[in-house]
Amino acid sequence: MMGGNWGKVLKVNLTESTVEEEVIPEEHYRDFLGGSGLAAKWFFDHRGWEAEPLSPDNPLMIMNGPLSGTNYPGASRLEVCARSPLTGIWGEASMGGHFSPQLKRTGYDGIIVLGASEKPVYLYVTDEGAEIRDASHLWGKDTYETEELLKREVGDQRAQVICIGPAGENLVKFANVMNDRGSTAGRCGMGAVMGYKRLKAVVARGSKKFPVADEAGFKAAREKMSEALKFSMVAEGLHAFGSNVHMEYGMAIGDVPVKNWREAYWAEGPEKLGGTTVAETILTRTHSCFACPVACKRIVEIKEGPYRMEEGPGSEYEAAAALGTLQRMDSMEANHKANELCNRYGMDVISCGGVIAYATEAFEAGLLKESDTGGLKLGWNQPDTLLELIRRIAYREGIGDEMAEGVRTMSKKFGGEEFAVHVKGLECPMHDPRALWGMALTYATSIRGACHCADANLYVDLGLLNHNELGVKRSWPYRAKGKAAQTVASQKKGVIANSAVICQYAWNASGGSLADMAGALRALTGFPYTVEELARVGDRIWYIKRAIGNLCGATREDDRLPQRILEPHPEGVTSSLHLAVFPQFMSMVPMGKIRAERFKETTAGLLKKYLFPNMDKILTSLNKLPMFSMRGKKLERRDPEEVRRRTVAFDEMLEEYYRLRDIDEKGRPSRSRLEELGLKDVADALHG
Amino acid sequence: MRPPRGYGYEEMPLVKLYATLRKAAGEKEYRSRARNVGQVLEELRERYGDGVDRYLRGCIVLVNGQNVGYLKGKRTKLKEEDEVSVFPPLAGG
Ligand code: SF4
Repeated sequence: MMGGNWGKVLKVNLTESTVEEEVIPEEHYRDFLGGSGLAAKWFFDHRGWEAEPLSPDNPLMIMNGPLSGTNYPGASRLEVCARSPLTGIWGEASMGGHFSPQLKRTGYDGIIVLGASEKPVYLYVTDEGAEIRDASHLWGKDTYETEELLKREVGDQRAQVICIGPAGENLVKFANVMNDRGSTAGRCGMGAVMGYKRLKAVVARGSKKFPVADEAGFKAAREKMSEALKFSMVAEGLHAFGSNVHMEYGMAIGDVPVKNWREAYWAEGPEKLGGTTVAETILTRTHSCFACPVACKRIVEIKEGPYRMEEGPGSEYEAAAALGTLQRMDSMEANHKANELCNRYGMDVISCGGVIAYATEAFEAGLLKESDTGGLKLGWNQPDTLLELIRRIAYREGIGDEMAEGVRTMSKKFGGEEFAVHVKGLECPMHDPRALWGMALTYATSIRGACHCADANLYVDLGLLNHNELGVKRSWPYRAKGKAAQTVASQKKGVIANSAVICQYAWNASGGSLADMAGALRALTGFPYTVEELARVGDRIWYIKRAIGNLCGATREDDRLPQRILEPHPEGVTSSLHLAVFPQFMSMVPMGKIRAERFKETTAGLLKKYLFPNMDKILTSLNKLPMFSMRGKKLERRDPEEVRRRTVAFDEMLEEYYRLRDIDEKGRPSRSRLEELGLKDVADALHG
Repeated sequence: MRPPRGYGYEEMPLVKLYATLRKAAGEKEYRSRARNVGQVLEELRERYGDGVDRYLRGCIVLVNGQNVGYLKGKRTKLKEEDEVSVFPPLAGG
């Protein structure tokens, strides 16, 4: 018998109030590992794409992987998957905390929830199976309260709870699922799927010991990983300052978005909001997910002032940026308060920050009027407005009702699509592709939309990880050459992390070795994994998810990035470059098609060679003329190299990527590639 | 014209330390006598002892926000108004 897994999941139908066990064939575990990989396989086999995201038939899958809940460092995670109401395509979200080990001990690898209940319910999962219980008394409660009340109700403090808050109940499209107050399955609106099903929470408490194929081997693998983490500088930084340790370095290289991705550099930002400052001021202690020695979570307390906050989880980097720098807001206290509100209401901080920043810019541009916002004046660095907007979104009040739909829908209605920063409807996380070009491909080709944890590119571009094991060279952060190959390799690792399931911080901090991962999985499951085999598993899962995206309607057109994050910032050190942005400029020249292509190429070459390097000089002198005064903005010194770096050669990278992935002009993986990986059924569904 | 190097404190490159390196060094920033990046690294070892050595292995150095990997590495020259940021290997996000 295989180890690491139980070979079965719980299938709950909320319409019919039934619970049954479903056995999953062993080869599915071998070929798709578990977590989001196994969920995708189940979703495909049951034609999940035929159901609308907010309909009873959309399956909500809460899945452990083989590593989940073991004491392998960082293996505290599980995946929550469904068709996403925010993007309309495959949705998945990874969650740390303490739920996954409890679920594992109940003897099930996951819970698949179908149907929708009429009244609010919660699931109580134990060694004996699951019970559907009434949750009317919990409806309307925030996630912190719900967790506490449920632990009391089941009479066991060791029981673990995942739940939704008011945002999920009100079907906010980016509502999340929370555990342990600060751990979240954040992205893609999985909380809204739960809300639609009126599933307020899942409580798990188990006592079974899961099987391990080779105890001694697994112990050795675990010790190796712990040892690596002990000496890891990255782990040390994460422990001392949390994931927000990145803010200072990120800002220095232009990776931290400021003012809805408009400003290139904000010197005071990290000083105000960064992890170092938090550690020196409001931090009370560190906290960790289950069995993780890194302990990157922050516990903070704000004792006084308007943003007083009792001791609780503090902002991680994404929250510090999305609800801080992205709003150009310099109050650390307000930022933590905003983060706490999002946690309590149960909303993804990234999407929430993204939609607020979009709305602020739209308000500035006159696309949103005071009559739309109910008299609220939106603007940068306005903490109170920010907190009020978060509340209105969670309860879908006034303008909050529009914002709860996400930036894609909102910008279609109000305009400003060029600064609505999302891919496939998912708001971009807080890493700027203009600083690390790998992130451009990561965002564009990630299955669930703009996502930074779908692959390991962030770590590779930061220079902390390489793909030597896969025979792939890492490429310079600002070069197109080699980026596609690097991204494909990064995706293999990312997919493994989200299927095995393990925390990417912890794994990458330990060196992110696939050989070590293969060793651990071999010992745990008993399947003969090698680096090559794992790489194939990584590809297989990626392709089946890509195909699901296609079946939900995604094409090449959806692999686009908003122009805002591909060209130099309109403000900050690389200001006023809109004149120099070549593609738009050229598309204005009318001429015959073929000659136009040749002409474009030659002129592009010439401009790149002569005009770009001298652009700052040209603009500086132009700036002296009144009609070119750049709308009153001071033009700062700009290094021509800087300009080149901030203009992402996206199309070139994407073309190469499609070639390597064998993606056809409709955006679908080719039949031969799918069949090579043993996905004939997928090929048939896709190509007929 | 500027006075020759080393005359006033203000005219020396500013070295800023970050995250765990700052913690180990117990200092946020200082004015340096170094004339290139290599010398800054030597100076750091001298100044703070062997304790900081492990943070300097694989560290990232920016001169005025530019990674020296794109400039001349350790041979990158420093001017008096330059700002040198030294980061230990770190990631988050
Ligand atoms: S590194 Fe941080 S997020 Fe990852 S498992 Fe450990 S404590 Fe949780």
